[in-house]
Amino acid sequence: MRYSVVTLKQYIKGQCTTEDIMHWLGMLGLNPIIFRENDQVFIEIEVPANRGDLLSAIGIIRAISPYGDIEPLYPDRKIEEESQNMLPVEIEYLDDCAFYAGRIIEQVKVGPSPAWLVDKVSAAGFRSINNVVDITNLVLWEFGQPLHAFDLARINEKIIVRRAGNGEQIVTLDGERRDLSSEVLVISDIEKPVAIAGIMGGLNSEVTDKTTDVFIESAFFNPSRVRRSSKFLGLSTDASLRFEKRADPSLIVPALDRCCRLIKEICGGKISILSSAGRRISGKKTVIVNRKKIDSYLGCNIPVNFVVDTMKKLGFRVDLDNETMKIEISEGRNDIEQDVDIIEEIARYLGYDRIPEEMPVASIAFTQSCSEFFRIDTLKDLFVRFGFTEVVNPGLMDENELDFSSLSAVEIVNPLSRNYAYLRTSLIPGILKNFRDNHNRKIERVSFFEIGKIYYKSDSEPAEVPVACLGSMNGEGFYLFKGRVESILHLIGYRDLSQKLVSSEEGISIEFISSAGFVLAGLILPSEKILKRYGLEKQKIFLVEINLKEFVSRGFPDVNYTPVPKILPLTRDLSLIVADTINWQDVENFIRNKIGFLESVEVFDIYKGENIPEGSTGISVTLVFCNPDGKLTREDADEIVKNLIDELSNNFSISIRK
Amino acid sequence: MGETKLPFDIDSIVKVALGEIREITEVNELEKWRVKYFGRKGIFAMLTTSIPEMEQTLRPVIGARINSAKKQLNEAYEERQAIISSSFKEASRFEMNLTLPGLRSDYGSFHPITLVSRQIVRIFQGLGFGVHTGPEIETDFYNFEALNTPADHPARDMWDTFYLDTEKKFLLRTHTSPVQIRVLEKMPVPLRIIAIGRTFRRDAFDASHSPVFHQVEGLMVGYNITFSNLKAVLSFFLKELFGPEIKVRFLPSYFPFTEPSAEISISCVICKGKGCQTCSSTGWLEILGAGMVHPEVFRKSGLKDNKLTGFAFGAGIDRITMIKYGIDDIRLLFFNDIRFLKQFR
Repeated sequence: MRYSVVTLKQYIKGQCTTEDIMHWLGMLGLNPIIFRENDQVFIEIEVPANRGDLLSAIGIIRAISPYGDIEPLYPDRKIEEESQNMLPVEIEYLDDCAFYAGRIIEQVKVGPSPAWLVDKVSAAGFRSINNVVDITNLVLWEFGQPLHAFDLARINEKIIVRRAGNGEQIVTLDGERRDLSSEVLVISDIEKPVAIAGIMGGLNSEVTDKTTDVFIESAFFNPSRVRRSSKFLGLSTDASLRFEKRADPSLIVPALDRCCRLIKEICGGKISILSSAGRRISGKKTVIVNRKKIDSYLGCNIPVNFVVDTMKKLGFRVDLDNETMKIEISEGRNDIEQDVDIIEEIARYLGYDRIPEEMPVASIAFTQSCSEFFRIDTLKDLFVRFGFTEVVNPGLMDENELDFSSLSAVEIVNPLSRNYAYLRTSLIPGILKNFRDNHNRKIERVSFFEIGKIYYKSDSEPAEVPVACLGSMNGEGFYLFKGRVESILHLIGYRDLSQKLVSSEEGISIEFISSAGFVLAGLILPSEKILKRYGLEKQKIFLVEINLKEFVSRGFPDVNYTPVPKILPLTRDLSLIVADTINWQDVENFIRNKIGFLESVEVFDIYKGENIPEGSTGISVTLVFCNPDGKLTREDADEIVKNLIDELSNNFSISIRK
Repeated sequence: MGETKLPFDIDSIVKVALGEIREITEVNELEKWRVKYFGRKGIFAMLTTSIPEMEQTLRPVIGARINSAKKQLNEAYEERQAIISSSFKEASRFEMNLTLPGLRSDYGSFHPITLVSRQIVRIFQGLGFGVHTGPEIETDFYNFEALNTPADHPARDMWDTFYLDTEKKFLLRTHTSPVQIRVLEKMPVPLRIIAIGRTFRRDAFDASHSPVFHQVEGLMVGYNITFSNLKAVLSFFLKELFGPEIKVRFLPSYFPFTEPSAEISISCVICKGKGCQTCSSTGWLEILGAGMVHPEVFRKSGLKDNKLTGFAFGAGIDRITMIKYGIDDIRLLFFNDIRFLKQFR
């Protein structure tokens, strides 16, 4: 909202400078900006959503008046009714329009506005149309009450305020043909809509040079009805903005009269008696404030005189007794409904900077935290310790990027564009894009991780679950990456996961499965097709996605101390030659089952090359036997290993590397 | 050595030579020493050539003394040589050149948003605030209705919203404020918490907007919580975060869920309040929205005790991160260019 300073000052009674006005608007929190345009000084302010009263000159001056020795100067609005002509008005639902008023003015001369009026309306930001329309806009600027002028000759019989029928259409003043619906409130005559109520007039009843008689409308339209109409039509105007914020009902007739007076002054004509329907509604409210609460809420002592003076300057009536303050709020201040709203007014006019700072006194007991934040935060420490760099991706995706998960994706009803139409079902596409972008910048080697939510439809309702994704591009080899993944899973408490090799169009993956059968993590080597999609076909890429749902609720595993064994364990190293078609998990499980008192079986070297037949891998393992009482002898261990070698040969065709 | 008269005091020659060799640590120094004593024109060579000039009877004695001195110094030489070359020998055991640069192992780093979130959490933890997160997919009730922003309220225009169903029941939370309601519903009062997390608004990407961003929310509720407390806590927070020298400004603002509401700015950290591009020449940077919790919010959260008061606040973590590190484009936070990320190690 912008105001020309010169014009604004014409409505101020009392002395103040432009600097004063700027300072006061600033104290009100309206973030005023001052600027010069065509040799005029303007002030632009941000009007909060609940302050429709600040969308007019009178309202602004009223609002700053408590700071200085000024008050608003109301423009002349006295009229004489010279005609008894009336236009009948009907209202379909009083809920949509509580009160509708208008006056006919006969024999007006429609034409260009005088220079002073052109200046005034252009300073207020309107394009000058003709004298009648300009006057309605000036009064809107002065009072904040939107008015509309109809060419009376083009209104058939009467005004009906009603919902539009589905399929009905109107061409609005901007020349657009608009489809209406029962959401939209219209002003109509007996055959056709002539305006969209509170938003814009119709071309069919426009005031033109040929108009002789006009009908000026001033009404109270339901704020949410106007808002819905405006949203439905995608059309927002100066008028709709004010109606949405509940225009002051006490100004309906004064603004109408002010407008008629100006029309008579400038365009001539005879003003007739009021045509109206509905009843004049009152926006007057009384708020009772406990006097002690003002001080205890703000945390400082505020003199009662200051409070009373401020309220009076705002046009509120104050009744004081020992404990309470009864305040009658002037109409138009829809934002004030209860005591805390009055307290806000007091704080604003006192100035927030004059309220002292005082730390609260509270019990030293902490308020409990939720489990999620710190668990995930500690996980980030772990990933960084493993050499991964954290990334943050927006997580809105194209439909084509949803193939990394079998989850049913959540679609945004009103997306920004097709590229951002779905919520991510996996963090993998985000990291692949990060690899692509870095690769395009000649960066060959990176290891990234992200922790965030993925989203899916569960019983047709959208749901979310936390996951982590780690990925490496041209980093260390596969076994090192897999080792890091296994270590991470171990550290977050997954000690007995089985692994399953799964191949799909997206790539080959190793699923890590809990004893209860849930896939907790998937390590994927993306397929050629996927790598090509991201322009990464020559890159060595490994990714893993870990479901964190259980971890977030359970946390890191507890540490259970067990005494360190006093007897050194017996260990035996074996170098095996294993065909690549054999699932190592099966071999490991076989060894564990065969040897009852095995503490661990650990692979410490993986080798391909000389002395290893093609299609096989040399795998060196250490077997650690648990031997707490020392009864297991070296000879026993040798015997066990000898038998094991035979069994491995029989069951898996595994041979021993000499 | 020159033509000076030879000192026949072999003992002092040996003494000097042994003193010299003890200081030697490098192979080429050792070689110079060897040449000086054992070289063709070295000291021993000269001593030997002077023997014929000696008295006949002294010759064998002197010859024997020279030989034993030579032997002694030769032992010292070999000993020294062994010491000097031992580190190379040690290294050669590993069959590698230890002087080559080490292979760099990857070291990871945190995203700047994580770094700033952690600083914020640390400050409020010190004040006894619990840390919460809340769901990112919210319902209309928690995101708007319970926050005193009913349907068709003009204030809804303050948050352009992504909806997840045509009935507009489910949406992506436009702020972390719904966590206020969720916490008030289930935790005992008095309480004090912050909520940190991802938020969404239907804004296209540009230098200062992103459809996805991060917020921190705060809520303190009790029986004597005042506006003056709000000012003190938030001034403390901002000075901890940006440094004690900054100025903090409180101005009126509007949010449907607080009354009175405030907008809180700090003196521009770039130009120290003189006015620059970052602060649009105002000298101030708006950081926080805050206010006293609206009674309607307590009511919608099921709290009927009308003696309860409280304050709440919210801030954009992305914006704080940008101001703290002087980042001029919010998209850099989501682009994940390693050349950007690695600066936060």
